[in-house]
Amino acid sequence: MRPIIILAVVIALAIAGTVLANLRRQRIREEYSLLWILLGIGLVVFAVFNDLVDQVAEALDVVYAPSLVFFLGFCFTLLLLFHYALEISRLSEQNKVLAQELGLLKLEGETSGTTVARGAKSVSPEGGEGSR
Amino acid sequence: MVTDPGAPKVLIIVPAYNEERSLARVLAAIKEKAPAYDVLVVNDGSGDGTSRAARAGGASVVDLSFNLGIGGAVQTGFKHALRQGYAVVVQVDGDGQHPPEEIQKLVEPVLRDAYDVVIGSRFLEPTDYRGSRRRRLMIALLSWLCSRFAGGKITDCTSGFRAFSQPAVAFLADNYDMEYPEPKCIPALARQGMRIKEVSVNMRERASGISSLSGLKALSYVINVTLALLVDSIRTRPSQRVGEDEP
Repeated sequence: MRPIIILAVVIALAIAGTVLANLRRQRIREEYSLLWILLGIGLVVFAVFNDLVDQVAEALDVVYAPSLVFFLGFCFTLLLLFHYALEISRLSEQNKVLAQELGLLKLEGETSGTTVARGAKSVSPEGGEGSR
Repeated sequence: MVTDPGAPKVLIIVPAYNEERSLARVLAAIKEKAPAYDVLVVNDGSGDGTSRAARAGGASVVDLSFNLGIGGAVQTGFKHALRQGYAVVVQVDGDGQHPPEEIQKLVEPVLRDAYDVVIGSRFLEPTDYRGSRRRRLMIALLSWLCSRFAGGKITDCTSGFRAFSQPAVAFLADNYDMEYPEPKCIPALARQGMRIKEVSVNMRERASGISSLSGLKALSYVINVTLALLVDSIRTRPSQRVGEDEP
């Protein structure tokens, strides 16, 4: 086996393994990771069966096979970017609502005489998940 | 503040971003011309003493943790008004360009329940307003576009000097654009069946601060608002208010 193919397989396995490891430890949510899993699997498949690119290229009537790889890579990147655009829109909307609610809560705290702001400071930064 | 407990509650929303210098004057003028109305300053993450100036001026203050932009700030005021049960909401900018003596002109048609949205326009009749030619052209263009989408004549779609009825506030509390709220909300409100009217008002030059629309920004504003209006017109809408089609 040519060394370059061994290298390609190793890198592809490393990428797929990284995705799976992070998924297992719940560091990244399933909905975000689908594209990455597909990428990892795709890379391993193409690295192991390296004739596949040529065969697919020929079947699709692509003259220069490596351009097919670039094309697929470009499509993947675009898809990923669009996915991020959606996520950013969602997050910024949620962020806005949180800032608004926080502002309104502080005002309510001031007018009703309770000390929301001071109470908030006493919550430990590790709070939430850790205290369970 | 002494108010007739039976009178409909009116809230004046003053969005302010780094308006420390002009805010005291604006709040004093509001207090003088509209003493019966509550005033809420929405401090949009200012880096200066805006919050202090607002409190010193006797207003309630919402301090936003970071800058949300004019839309996010005013929407915060709408949410407050909705929860506190205000009957009418008026937006008066913190930079001093909206003269408080005109507030009553905007509030009156909403108070007698003739309109849901009353927009203070600089161009309905000749006024003292002197903007650059480019600015006027820009506003005219966007207003024409806005009129097409709203199905009624609008002459000053970028004016933020407005009064809203309670149903309009309830809608806008959930649907208000972050960046280009003034022109964008007009067709949206019209689609909701809100009654919209313009009244002629005088506007001053800003008391301080710089115009948010200069140079390339103006072009970018026109393009963005046009796109926003086009996109908004093809958006899918949430189904009509629940309960309306119940027997």
